[in-house]
Amino acid sequence: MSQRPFPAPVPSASGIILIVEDYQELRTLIGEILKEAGYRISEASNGAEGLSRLREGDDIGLVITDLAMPGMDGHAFAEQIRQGRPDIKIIFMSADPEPLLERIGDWGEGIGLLRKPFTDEQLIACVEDTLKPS
Amino acid sequence: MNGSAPKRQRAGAAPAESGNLDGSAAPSGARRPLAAPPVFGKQTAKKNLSARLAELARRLLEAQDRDREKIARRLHDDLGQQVAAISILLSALKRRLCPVDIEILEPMERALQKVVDLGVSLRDLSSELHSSVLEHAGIEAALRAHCSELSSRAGAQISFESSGDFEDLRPEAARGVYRIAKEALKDSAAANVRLFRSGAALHLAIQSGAIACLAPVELELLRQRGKAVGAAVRRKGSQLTVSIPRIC
Repeated sequence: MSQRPFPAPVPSASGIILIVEDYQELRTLIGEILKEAGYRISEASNGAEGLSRLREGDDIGLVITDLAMPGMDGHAFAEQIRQGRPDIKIIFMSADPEPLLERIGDWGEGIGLLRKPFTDEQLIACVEDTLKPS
Repeated sequence: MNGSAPKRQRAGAAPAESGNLDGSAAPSGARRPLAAPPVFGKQTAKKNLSARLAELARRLLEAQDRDREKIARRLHDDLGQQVAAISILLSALKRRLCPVDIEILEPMERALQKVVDLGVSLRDLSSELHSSVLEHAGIEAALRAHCSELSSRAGAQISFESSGDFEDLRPEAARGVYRIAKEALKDSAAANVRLFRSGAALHLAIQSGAIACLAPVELELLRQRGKAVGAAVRRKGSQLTVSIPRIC
């Protein structure tokens, strides 16, 4: 059984991808797909844990975060990232992104959106698009 | 138990209505307060009953909203996440298949499409039960999104305009106004929806042919929903207005 590989990414330029998702199974799956595609990843199960990862000083260049999470939601988490590290790019995952679009309309570049459910190809395409230099 | 209270009040009213407490006729110029309370008591009982019914309606609507929200969250947070995981698993599995193995690839592709469709259905159902736009972006954005969604249906023309700031609208009032608009618009093929402020008051005006066709019971439900959040709901011809005198 052959396997069609993803296009080679440029991990050195993008740094580590932090995946923030409270649903563990989905988080693991996303991590496996990104690792398989050649990216380095880090994981967190909620916004507070995600901020801890960022404070630890990891070389994080992109955050993929769920929008609806218990405690600090994805939007509040992303706002904190933008205040402290505006250089970090952010991809939001959501089954219902319309409210988010109302709130981040003026956030400019470096923002991606993945509508759930998505495929592995859509995930990789979104990561590549968001990581492209503006 | 509840049915006996008004009877007791009516029974208690009889002696005083006929005059003095002992049943004798009250002389002219006698102390009036003895006669007044029974009339006052009847009105008070009616008012109390009306207030209790309104309170009951309010609680029922609140309970209904809570249930809707709970189910919507389950659909979104639990089932939606599982569908998302299945989708990504299937797509990863599909990628591992040999490209020439059409007999497996095609059903796999169909299964993946079914999962995506299921995700869309779950999202629509969740949104029908509880508007996350309303929760996160407020009444104006939620009504605009709803009118836009209705307009995307074949042949439907639902316009929306707004003026003023609605950020200080209480969340329960926003939910009430939103649900009234949804109910009122559900059979409309064409409508003009306006949301505006006048001083401390909020007004929602819906102009649509379907408003004139609302059954009395439907209109009463809208009124009760409005009453539960302090809003007056009125219909005049094909226009429905919802007014909250003070929104904060």
